[in-house]
Amino acid sequence: MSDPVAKLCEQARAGDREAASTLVSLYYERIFAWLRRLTGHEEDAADLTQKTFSKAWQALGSYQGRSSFPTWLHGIGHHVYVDWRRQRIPHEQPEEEWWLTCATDAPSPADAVADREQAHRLYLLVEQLGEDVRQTVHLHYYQGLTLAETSEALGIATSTVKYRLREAIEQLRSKAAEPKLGAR
Amino acid sequence: MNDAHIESLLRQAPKPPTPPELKQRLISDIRLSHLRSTSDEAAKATPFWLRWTPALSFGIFFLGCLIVLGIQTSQLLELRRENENLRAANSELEPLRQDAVELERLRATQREMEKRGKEGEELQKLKDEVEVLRGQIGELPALQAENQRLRAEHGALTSQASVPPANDPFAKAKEKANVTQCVNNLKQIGLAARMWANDRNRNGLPLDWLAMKKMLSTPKVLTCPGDTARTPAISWDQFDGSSVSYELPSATPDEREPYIVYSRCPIHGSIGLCDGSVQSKFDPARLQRVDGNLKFQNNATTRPRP
Repeated sequence: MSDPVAKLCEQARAGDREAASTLVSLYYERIFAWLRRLTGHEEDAADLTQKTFSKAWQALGSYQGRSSFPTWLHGIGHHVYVDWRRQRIPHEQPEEEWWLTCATDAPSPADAVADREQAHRLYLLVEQLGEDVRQTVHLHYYQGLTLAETSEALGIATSTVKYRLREAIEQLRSKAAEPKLGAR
Repeated sequence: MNDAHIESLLRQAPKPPTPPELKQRLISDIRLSHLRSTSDEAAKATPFWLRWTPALSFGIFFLGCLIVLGIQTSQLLELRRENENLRAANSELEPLRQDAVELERLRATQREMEKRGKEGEELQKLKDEVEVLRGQIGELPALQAENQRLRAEHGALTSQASVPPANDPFAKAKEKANVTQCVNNLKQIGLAARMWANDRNRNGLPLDWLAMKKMLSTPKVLTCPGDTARTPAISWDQFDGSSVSYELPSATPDEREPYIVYSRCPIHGSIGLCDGSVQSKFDPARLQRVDGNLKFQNNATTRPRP
């Protein structure tokens, strides 16, 4: 944990609302983006983000600083998402695909249209992976957490994270090599 | 598409736009009031005794353990001391035990000696008694011979039936023979009574004729020859007491009292004393009743004949 973030955490624990606001400003976009990709709904993602931060403030007293604050926050978010997913109607499809909402302003993976198509197909394939593998891909690749941080956020061993990522890449490669995408 | 390309595309995934009002909602939703203090407030809210309860409990438990340990150690030392004392006492006990065994052995020896002494005395007494009886038995042939002689005289007298009793020269002899026989009977009675007493290791003589049944060879000796009213019993099977001529005048005859009359013939007046002797001719005034016993007064001039 970087020193400024640690200091902000200490101040927030001491009741400093300003420090807590700063922490929100630092991480809310990242958490929302992650939950937005996972849920596929903007409103649900906003609610889950709110719940994540609410739980974080409640549990801040027990935060010992063993892991970085964003990792700890992702761990809380993961539990919030799992709870939400349990209550969700099974097989409910997202209203829209998140990459379409950010196709214009987000940095493009490639300039060429063919490359963009390829990236979109890849993101679609990621959403068709198994839930555990999908969450691991989201945290490691989309959120940029390290293997150790991913394992800590998910509450699993690092070796399991590696296994799941390898599994994901293999599945994505094989499916991407197919001439057409599956039904969407 | 290779793995590196896939990973590169994944890492460059676009970021979804954030709703504009979300940040404000999140900031307004911050609730930090409960975070202040945490441990300090909890410590202040908890009473002093409650905060120190675990430590106090452990301390009390530890103190209790120490006390119990101390008591047990003290008891252990006490037991060890007692054990040492008992060992020392036990080592002293062995000579005492040997002394006690020796003492018991000596006592047993003493008892054995006393018993043997008594047996010796008894043996000596019996020997003396046997000597006296032998002496008396020595007189028996003479008495039997006299008896035979008197019988012969009696037979001769009965053959001369025509001679009147008053002038019968054999009447006196017959009477004399009867007296002699009576004296003999009293002697045999006295002898039997003393044998009866010796057999039972007693001094008192029997007051029942049947008691001397085994000591007397025949019940005939209980009938005085001068007692014509009675018929002598032939055997003890026929004896019913009616044939007894003699009387036992003393209530407590004792062989240690030689002048007490044991048996008396009411016909001839002869008396048998407790020492076995018989008096046939004496002054009847010498007989006196003392304490229920008929006593023959000892006179220096006329001592009883043994």
